[in-house]
Amino acid sequence: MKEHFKVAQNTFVITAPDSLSVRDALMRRYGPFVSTVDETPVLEIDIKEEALPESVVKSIYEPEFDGIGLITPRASRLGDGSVAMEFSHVSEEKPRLWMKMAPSMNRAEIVSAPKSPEEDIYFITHAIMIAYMLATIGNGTLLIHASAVKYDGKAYLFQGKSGTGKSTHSRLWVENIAGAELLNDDHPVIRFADDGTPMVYGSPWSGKTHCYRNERAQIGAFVRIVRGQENELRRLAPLSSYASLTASMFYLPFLSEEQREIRHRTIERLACEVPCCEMHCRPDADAALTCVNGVSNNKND
Amino acid sequence: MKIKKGFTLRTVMGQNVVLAEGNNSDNYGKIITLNSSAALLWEKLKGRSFEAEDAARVLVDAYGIDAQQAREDAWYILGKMMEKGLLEE
Repeated sequence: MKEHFKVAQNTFVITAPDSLSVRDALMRRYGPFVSTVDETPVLEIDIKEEALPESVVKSIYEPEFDGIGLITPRASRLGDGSVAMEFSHVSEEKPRLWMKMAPSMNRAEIVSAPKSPEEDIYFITHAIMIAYMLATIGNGTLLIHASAVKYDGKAYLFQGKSGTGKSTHSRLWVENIAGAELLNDDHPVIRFADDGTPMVYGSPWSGKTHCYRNERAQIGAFVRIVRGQENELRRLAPLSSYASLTASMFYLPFLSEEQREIRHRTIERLACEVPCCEMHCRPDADAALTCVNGVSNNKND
Repeated sequence: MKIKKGFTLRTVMGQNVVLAEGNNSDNYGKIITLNSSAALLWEKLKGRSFEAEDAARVLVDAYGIDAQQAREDAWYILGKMMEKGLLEE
């Protein structure tokens, strides 16, 4: 298979043998993003299923960076400037997947040691996400760890560490607010439109929830979810907004200084232009109603 | 003493800000604003081991203040940085 996909206006190509065991699972996630327009891709990804090559991630350049849930990635910078990454399950020693990114970050080679398609797809889609992130930081694209809900023409992004109730809060919106719908439940993509509007896009990376929507919306607000006894929304000061946004972005140790700078400026711009809030809440219907009222008030500031 | 690894000094919205990079750390997302003297010390002293006396010298060189004043200022700034967990032995 060779297929073009487009996520947040970034085109990438995935090439893999037709016999790929995770093909169906892959297309379930990426199918909605198939692009028929012939555009130069920002990233080309090759996927193979075979035994992993001899580990090159021995002299670890930066010890490790945080994975998502059960996946532990490790990375090192190779002599030619490319980045090699290995992804293991937290409970296992042996890596399941190996990825190499070209120094220019526009090519990724993925080798997955097949075990079962149900498990393999997690590693593969995670690796593709990291590759996408690295390939697109330079043009101002950001992936954010958040659950995004669309309501009244705008999208609201709920942030928080795993387990704090981002998804629960999204569900409470969908169940209790007429017209609210889930856009993405784990890693939506942020990008400023040409006219400067901050937009969020659905993506193939939606965590455990199968919600792969090829749609976008203007960002209405960022809301950090904190568990509390009362339901209360408060607006964050500008610097705290910046800090809150940064905390929800992947930390990637091997970014170039230029990439770091672009990422920093993009986050700064978001913090200036979009209301960032903190929502102390219980997991109940009133939390969703308090939140939606609060962010609508912010709109009228 | 030393400036702890994993923190970066940046200008955010016109202010000197130190933030933790690396989401392994509990400090991730933590943000500390520095005044211009503290930012200067950070720039000059990062990546090496130093004593309060070195910090005082940086302030003397930059601001032309007397040594005693510089020593007091350095102690104050380093104390604040220590309190915020930015320094280590």
